[in-house]
Amino acid sequence: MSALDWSVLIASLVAILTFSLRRSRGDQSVHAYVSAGKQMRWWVIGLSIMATQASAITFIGTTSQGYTDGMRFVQFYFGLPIAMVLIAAFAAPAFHRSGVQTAYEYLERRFDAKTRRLASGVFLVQRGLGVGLAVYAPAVALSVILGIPEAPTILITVVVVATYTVLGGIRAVMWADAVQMGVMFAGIAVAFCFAWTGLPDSVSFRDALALAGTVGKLEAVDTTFDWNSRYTLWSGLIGATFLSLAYFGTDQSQVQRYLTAKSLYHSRISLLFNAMLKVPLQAFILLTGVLVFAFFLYEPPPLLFHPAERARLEQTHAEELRQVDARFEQAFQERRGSADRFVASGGAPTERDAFATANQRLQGVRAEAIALAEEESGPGTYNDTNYVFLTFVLGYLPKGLIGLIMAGVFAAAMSTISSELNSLATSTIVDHYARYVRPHAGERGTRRALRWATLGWAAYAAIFASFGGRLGSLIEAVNFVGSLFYGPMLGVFAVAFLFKRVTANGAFWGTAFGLVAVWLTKLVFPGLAFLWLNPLGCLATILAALFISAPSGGAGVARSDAMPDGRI
Amino acid sequence: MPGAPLRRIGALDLTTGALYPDHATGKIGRLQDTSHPRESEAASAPADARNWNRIYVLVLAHLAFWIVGLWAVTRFLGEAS
Repeated sequence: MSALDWSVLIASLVAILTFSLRRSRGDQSVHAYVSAGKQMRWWVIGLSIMATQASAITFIGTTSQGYTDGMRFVQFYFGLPIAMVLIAAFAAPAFHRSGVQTAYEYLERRFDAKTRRLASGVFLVQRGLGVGLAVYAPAVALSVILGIPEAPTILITVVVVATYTVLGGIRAVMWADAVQMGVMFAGIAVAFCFAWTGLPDSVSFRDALALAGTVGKLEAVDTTFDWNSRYTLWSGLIGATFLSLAYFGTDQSQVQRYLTAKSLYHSRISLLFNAMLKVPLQAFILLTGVLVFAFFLYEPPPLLFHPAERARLEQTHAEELRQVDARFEQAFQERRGSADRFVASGGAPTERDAFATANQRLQGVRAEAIALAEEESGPGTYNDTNYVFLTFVLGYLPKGLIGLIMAGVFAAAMSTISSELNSLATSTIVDHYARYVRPHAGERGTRRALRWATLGWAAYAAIFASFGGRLGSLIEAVNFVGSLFYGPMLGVFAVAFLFKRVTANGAFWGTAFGLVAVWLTKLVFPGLAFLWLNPLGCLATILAALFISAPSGGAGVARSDAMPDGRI
Repeated sequence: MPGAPLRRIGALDLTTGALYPDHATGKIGRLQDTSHPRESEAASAPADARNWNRIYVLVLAHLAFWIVGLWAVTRFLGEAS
């Protein structure tokens, strides 16, 4: 990156930091720190919800996925609007009326303290592991692509995020999220324009899409039903609905956003704002990736997008790599020629087949290089998807705009990390510390505890990320464990909102049963696409909770709305 | 008071469910209740629920539009190529 790019990146980080801290001035109460004084407007909440979900890996990975796999990933988001409607209709009014500060506090009102502890504990474990990955994953990609060590990237990200999250609380986080969402979108829009205008004059936008369509990059909707296929219309509409319901309806990092709304109206509209925007936005991001694919039909792409792996192969397999490079160059020229003929013929079937064959040949040569890269680590271990978009940005965008897109990557990372730190600290203090450890800590004591908790979680995230390279299979385990929790968590909230007859014991043991059921299913059917675990865990929890509650004959509604001592 | 009038600031009129811009500013705003919040909330609850249901249907129709649109456009481009 040039000095100009670094200037743009640093200026954007400073601007976000300053702006968010300015917006968080004023009321310094605990209520303001965790709920923004219930004064936030729908558009800030909506952008914050969107920015929290969009991590740096989403930002660089989704565009890259458009390049490698085409538009099919958009189906993953089809369930989101359905989930948002259900949350706006059922969850948002319940949370809003109860005036709770965490989603799990609602469970204590409806059931009992042990159900709250269980749900909050699951959240702290799941999100606690997640925040480490949210720092580590982009740091790896950025350090590889920029050629700088991981440690400074981790340090800069965590220090900036921790500063405004610790000092400003949720108001600073949400205002920063709103700005960061703008920076991310500007970055994607710039990349889209450059991928488009970077095509040769003879190739129109329509031609670019036709070329991409020929090799299956435009198959946005797959109507076939396959339990093991990750992205189909059905897994998107059913599995992803449950996943989105669990994430947006029960995860404190999201629920806390719409708990800050100044009214139920603002809370609902912020959710529906996301419902309306998410699918078009993701389609646009994936389309940018598809255009990058079209761009690399005319500009030679690297044989391997992962520069460190490439450098390693140059040391260990210099001769084989030289031969593969030569074959790759030849295959690229053949593909480029066939693409030209395809466009000149107006998409004639023979030219279409020739282009598809040429593309297949190029992929075959790339597979040889990947096999070399995997010789030591084993098959299926090499993946350079996250490096495609950054390679395009660094190689072909003008100075200054590279800095803007890098600012977008950092913005995406920071928006997720700050929301997670803030929600982890809120749950730690509100659900545990102020409830059991220091119930009479008072306003100042609780606020101080919240700041220390945020700082503590930030330090933990930085340490976790620093050792990320040595964790290896633990990271896979983290993702695996995360996918087990969402279904049962959704189940316990579903019985809280929808089934008055469910008792506290029914909810608690139903959740435990749901967790075990999901874990056993994953062991017995390891190939089952993870999206299906969410409906399964949810239904198992609901059925078990109803079954366990049946002998009580509907005593579950008897709990009082009054909170025990210690509520802040 | 039950049945108290609701002042409209753009957006949805609770009594008719119609969409209006604010006459003074031309902006689409939100509803403002001029009576006691709890009583008016209770009085307007059914109409309010109907309005929200309409909005939910609109959001789901928007999703259906995008699914069908993406399917049709990408299929058309795929076949045309």
